[in-house]
Amino acid sequence: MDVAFHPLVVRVRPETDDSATITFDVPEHLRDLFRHEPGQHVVLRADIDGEDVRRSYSICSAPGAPLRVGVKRIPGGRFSTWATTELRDGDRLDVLPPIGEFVHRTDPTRAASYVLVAAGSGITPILAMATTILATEPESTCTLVYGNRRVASIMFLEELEALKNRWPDRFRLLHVLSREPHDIPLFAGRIDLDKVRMLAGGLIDVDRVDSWYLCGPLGMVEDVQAALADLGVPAARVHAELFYDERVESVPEVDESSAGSVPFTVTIDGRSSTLHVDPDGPSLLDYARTVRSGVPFACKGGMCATCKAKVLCGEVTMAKNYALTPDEVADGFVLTCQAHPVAGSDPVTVSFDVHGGIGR
Amino acid sequence: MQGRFVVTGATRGIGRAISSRLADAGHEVVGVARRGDPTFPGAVVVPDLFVAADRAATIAEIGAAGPVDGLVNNAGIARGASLVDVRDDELDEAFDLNVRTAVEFARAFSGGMAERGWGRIVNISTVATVGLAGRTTYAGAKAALEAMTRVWAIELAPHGVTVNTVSPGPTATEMFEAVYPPGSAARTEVLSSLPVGRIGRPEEIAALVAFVCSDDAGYLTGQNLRIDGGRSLGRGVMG
Repeated sequence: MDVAFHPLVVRVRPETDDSATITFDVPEHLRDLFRHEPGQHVVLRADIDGEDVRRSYSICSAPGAPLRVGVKRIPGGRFSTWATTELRDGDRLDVLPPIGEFVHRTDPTRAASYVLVAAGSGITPILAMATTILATEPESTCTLVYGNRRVASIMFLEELEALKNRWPDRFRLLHVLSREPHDIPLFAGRIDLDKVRMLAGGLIDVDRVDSWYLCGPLGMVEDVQAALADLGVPAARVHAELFYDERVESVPEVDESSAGSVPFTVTIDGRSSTLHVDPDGPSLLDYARTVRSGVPFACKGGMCATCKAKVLCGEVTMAKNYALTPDEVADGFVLTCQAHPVAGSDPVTVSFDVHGGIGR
Repeated sequence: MQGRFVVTGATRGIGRAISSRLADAGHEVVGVARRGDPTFPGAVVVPDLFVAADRAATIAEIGAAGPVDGLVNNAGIARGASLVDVRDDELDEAFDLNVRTAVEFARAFSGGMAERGWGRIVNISTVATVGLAGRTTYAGAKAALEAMTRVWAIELAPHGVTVNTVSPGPTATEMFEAVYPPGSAARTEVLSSLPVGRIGRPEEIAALVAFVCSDDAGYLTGQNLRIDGGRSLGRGVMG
């Protein structure tokens, strides 16, 4: 598997006042490598003022269309600010091939009913899914519930309108705006428990929905999941992804029940924190993120090496490793997103402060 | 003749290609668009064309800055709905942008063109006016524009001003590419409706508009030029 970064020429287009789309020119010989499923993301790498900065962004175009991501500028966000203000047409950006398990696998013969729920820049993978469903499954229908603050901040407004105008009978687009007055209560406010109950009591016949795809901040995703569970929707029909936001990082799936028997000490920026981890539980990265902010990561797929750290004590194993060289592994480096203590290991100490070159 | 051309709907898709092409031909281009574009080859005015006062202010602003020699009425809106689902507000929207805006811009600028003895007005329509399901408001409004093209052509012909319609078929704008991804059933369906077997490029539409705006096209007026890969031709089978 080829997991090297590839420098791709970009085209940048303003989308809203604080967002832009970046379209990549994928050369012929890389087309197969960069083929994607709707919902997947890419890791981008840029050198910003001498610093190697990596971020994950969901692909917002359907398979077959030019590879494109949407970037919303986050106040103080290094990458998003740079990408939406400094990046120019014709520049090159380092890109890892598409990855991710939050995907819609299309089937042209299917006659399904889908409901997609997105908030803010969570629209990006959802737009790819909606476009794919409408363009490739002629018998399927799709409802998109899309939450934003106000009309001016809606990403892909025109493109969604174009989809609706092309398939008025198969695509329903419901905007929910939190900071703009609306005559109809259903379309004002946030996408939360009550909103899902209101939709389920009217516009959406929950029992006839085959699949739900959710993408947005933690609160929205949890609320919608809880509301759907209350309504008796089997969890297998609900697919969700938290979007990565430079300011509010997605919260890892670690809770009290994740605590385990192996002491784990993580050092970052010269300071150490200790907790107890379960070898069969979440990754060391996810554990580390519950106790420390600023833990570096991007792809969470063992590919980009952003989360690389050095094991100083204890025994650690990696589920996948596409990024570290054998020498780095021999030196004790691990990809923390893939790392778990070996059962029965001595206490584990991992440091993010030891550098030995990034990936390859 | 190199002049000052106003293009509505100028920063995206076909309008953007027309603007670039006119600028390349040496014209000064003034864009009117829903959003700005830092790389636009000329000044851009950003009004809400659905608001009458905004349209009037835009026309006044452009007129005050200098004479207008050419106008490309390209801004448009295509809401899809079967007849039974056509909404009143969408019918209003379609006529506000596709018809009212075009009339107001042409009314404001054609007088100056006629006085100076040279002018070009191009109305961008659509192949949908030959009949396309789900396009009641869009095709209806654009058909009105096509009829007005012929009226204006007669009125303005004695004054050196030509008026024509250019009606594109499916065109591979960025929006089209996003909505009809290559390889999808939806794109295959569009392709099967095109005798030439491919989607048109924005540059091809722009090249035709640039010709219609040139001195060489002075004998061409009141026509509807369909540039649609043969989409509007009869396609019946022998029987």
